[in-house]
Amino acid sequence: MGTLKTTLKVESTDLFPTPVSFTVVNNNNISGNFNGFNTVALTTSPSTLNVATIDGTGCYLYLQSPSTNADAIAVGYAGQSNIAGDTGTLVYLSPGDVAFVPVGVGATAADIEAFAASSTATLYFFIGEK
Amino acid sequence: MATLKSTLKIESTDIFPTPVNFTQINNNAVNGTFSGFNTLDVPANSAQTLNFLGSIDATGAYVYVAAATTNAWPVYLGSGLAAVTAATVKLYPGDVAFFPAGDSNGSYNLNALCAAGETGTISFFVGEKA
Repeated sequence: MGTLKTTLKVESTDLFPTPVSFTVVNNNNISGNFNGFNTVALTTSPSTLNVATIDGTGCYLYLQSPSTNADAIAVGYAGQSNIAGDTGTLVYLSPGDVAFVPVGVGATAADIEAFAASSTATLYFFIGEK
Repeated sequence: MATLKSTLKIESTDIFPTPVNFTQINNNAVNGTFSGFNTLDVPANSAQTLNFLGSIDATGAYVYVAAATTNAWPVYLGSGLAAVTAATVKLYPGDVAFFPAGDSNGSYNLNALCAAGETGTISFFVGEKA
């Protein structure tokens, strides 16, 4: 087991009538399988990100789409993610976007897939089971 | 157009052979419909729409979601969510997520749901991308 500490600060001076700024710090326990920080070259065919099927407890997922990408990236569960539909897509990353998400499908084990929207893209990611 | 600045810091001293510590700062342009920071009580088996001001278009939206530490059960998120078995995000009490949501088809709806006999509270923000 290890700890993945995340610090998320969200700020805006012009989105709301009053400026917003807050920080959330979490010490996330990683107790199962984890995948190091990896880079994967994506096409429109789904690529599985996890090294072993994610169990029902779920996992923490860090995703980063390099700003040099020319295409969007969709991430979702195997068999559910469908970029052209409205079912199962979890994260939709434009070039430069970053995400940190705890994911899980009820108590069901599942794989996490990523694919490029229309051509190719590079994804930098980490998956760690809770 | 307005900016939602996100700072995500990832650290670990014990997951990997070498300690990891990096920070990703994004100035996320929010150009379309956006909600304030809202609190929502999520009931069992009744999907609640987070983008209550309108469907998310094909450019997607930035989503911040935090599950209250006082929750007793997980809260699930997904697109067009009808059951937790179709969920993609699983927030245990205290979990926080920041991710761009959507798909290339547009008309994306992000729902929150709890399993039968369970409830939870989340705070969230949804802001459409530029």
